[in-house]
Amino acid sequence: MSHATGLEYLRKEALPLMWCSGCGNGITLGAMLRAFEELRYKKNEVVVVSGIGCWGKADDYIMTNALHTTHGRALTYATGVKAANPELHVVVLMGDGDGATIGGNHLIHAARRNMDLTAIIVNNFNYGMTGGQFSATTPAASITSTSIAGNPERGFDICGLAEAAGANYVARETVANGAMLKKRIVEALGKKGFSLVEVISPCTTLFGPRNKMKQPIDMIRWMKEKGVPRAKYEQLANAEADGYFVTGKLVDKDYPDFCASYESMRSRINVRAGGK
Amino acid sequence: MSGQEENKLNHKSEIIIAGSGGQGQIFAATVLADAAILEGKNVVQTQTYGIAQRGGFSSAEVIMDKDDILFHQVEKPDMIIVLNESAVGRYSNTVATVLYDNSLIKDGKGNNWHGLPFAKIAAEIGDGKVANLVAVGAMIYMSKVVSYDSIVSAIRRKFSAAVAEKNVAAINSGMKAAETLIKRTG
Amino acid sequence: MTSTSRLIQGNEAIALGAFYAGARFYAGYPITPSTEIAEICSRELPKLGGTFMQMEDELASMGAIIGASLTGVKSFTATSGPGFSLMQENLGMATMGEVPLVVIDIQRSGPSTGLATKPSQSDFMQLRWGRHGDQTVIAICPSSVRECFEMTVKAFNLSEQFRTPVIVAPDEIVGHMRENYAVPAPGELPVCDRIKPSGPADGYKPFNFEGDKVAPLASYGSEYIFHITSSMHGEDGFSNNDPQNAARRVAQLHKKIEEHRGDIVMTKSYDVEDCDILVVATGAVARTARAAAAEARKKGLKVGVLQLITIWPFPDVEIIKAVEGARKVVVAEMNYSGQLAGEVVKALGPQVNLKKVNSFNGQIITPADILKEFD
Repeated sequence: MSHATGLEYLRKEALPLMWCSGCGNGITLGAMLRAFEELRYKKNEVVVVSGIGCWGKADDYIMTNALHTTHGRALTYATGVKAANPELHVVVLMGDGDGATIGGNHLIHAARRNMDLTAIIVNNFNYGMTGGQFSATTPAASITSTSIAGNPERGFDICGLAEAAGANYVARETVANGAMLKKRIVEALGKKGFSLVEVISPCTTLFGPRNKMKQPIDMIRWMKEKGVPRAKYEQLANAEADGYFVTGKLVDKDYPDFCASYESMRSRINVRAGGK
Repeated sequence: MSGQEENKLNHKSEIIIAGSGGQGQIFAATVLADAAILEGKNVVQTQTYGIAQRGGFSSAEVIMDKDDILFHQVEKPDMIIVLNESAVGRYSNTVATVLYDNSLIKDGKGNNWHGLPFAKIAAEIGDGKVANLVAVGAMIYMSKVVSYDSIVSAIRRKFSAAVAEKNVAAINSGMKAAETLIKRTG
Repeated sequence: MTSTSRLIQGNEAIALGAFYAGARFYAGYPITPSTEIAEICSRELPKLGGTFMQMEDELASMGAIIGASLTGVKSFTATSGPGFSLMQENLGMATMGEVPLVVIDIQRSGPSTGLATKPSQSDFMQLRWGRHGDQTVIAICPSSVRECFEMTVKAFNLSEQFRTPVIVAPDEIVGHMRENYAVPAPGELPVCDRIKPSGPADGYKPFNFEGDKVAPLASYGSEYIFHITSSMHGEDGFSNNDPQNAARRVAQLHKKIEEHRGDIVMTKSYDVEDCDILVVATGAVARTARAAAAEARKKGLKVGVLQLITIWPFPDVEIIKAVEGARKVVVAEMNYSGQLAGEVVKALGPQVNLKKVNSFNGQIITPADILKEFD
């Protein structure tokens, strides 16, 4: 059996990738395109909706339909696409600034509404495209270009947020394990309702070097060491304080998605109108 | 159409229904406007209201004319209905005929102010919420801006039979009250 | 008046006009004085096979209708001042992506929360210039329930024809006014749909930067695969930073509207042929102006009224024509700064004998207010 390459979805003429060497966006893009291939998605039935930021530029390399939107609002556009044509596979690409900071409110409501979308949030803990300022996921005390003496704010747990807001599927993986990342994306795409994969990814030019991880490999080592399955995380004495985070599938449920709920409401309205 | 001879069909008439939010001024105004449309008139219905769903000054206006209606605000009201105290001050100097609810408002503001107990009458016929239509009944009896038949048809088109009858009863009670008032005062 | 004439509110006429034009997707956030439109859509769109969505805010509402429109479904939203401010960023994206859609802005009194339930006509400049970056727009202000219906249909037609957002911006008076109106039967008013591609799917380009042209627009899910981006892009829809390409792109966004102003600019003139005094007004104030002019004519004053229906592109040519022979121009509008008056001066030159009538306290302009300026 041959492995999926995802090449039929890749816009080869746009190569090489614009991202810095060591950046996790290429791995994530590859994992996603392979997932499309495994699911035998037709290019015209996929709409990739992206926001603004390094990862938001991924649409440049994708041969499916795409909608490159405004900063933080990708989920809102995707909501309109999906609600107006529920047959489409709608995938939303956002970074931590885009998806969890300026667009945090839309993330909460897309999850609450249980829109049948797959959000792939690449979390590199800072605003890469604007030079590495702190975002809503930057850990406390981290050094960024707007927190030179350490971030005074706490970082968000994107997965915890999505779970609390009602997502049907939530997973977190790191780009240190591309195969597992692809597996999670396949699971997320296959899930009806709101699904989210948080991808822990290195910003090798800005965040890493400013935070004692000078080489890209240092960041990969860091995520391999600190990203642990839930069972292991719970055994650790000071997991949170020591900077560990949970990887794996975190939420998997089957609450009816928005389109299904809307159709049941539509039949109630039609019954009433018919009964007049 | 009975009462046609009394109906001021061919000139512009203007009515204001004022009170506080939640008293059904806009609804009463739309019933009146519907009746005028049934008589082949053009209508413009507008309202002034505040940010509260209940309470605060709120008024609804209806302009009815065989001709096109340009300016959309009432300038010379044929009659003003005042449903509670909060609206009294606005009209204390008007020269128009005012019909006010004397079960809720203590005194009128002049000889052109005529009191009738709309809320009390509505409660007596079993639904305090129809005070607005009791007032409309009294108003059309006195002003003839639309005919009784048109108001009744407008109501019947809007509601199921049971609700329509309750509303028509309110109109009837209002008309009767106005008739008594006119007989008493001449 | 036909037998089906009934009492309809301006906001209701807008919703019904949208359905008549084929709109089947609405996303919005409740705000006075536009909320009736959302409520009607929530009840009626499901029956029409369409979708109503109540979004978390107005940014989301604009995003959602752009997404929906790109699946081939005519889409719209409705709001008022504060919400319209929030829509600007994504509205700019609709312009850049040439996405057909309609935005209803029921103008209320500001600044900021202002007098939330009171009318104004103070969004004219925001309609035109509210987005960053140089772009143009189509904006329409109806003055009656009939025009609310007809101009909403027209707005959808223009948006489909020119692949551009169109804004319908009645003042609160018109949005909340009820009048007798007979909704036209299907077929009575023209309804246009966007042109879809018909050639081979392989070479499809979602944009055409050739002068004033507009490319056919495919729908997501059809055999035509396409990219739309808020970034500067080529005719293929992919990012493109070449300066020559950018110049053609920006020029086409303007030209496709400017060079078709004849199809877009609508005015109505009343007794302007022989007028000594021309009143220029829009929305509810155009009604006041006509009442004032009628009153003045009774006194022997030759007063004409030019009602602006299209506000953007601004009807400067029409104003220049209407003012011919008049000795004075009166511009009446519900704002302090004279947003329309400024444009009229721009059209007629600084030497024009122009009087401004302005209301900026949430109260309407009366015929008497305008009559004073005729002496």
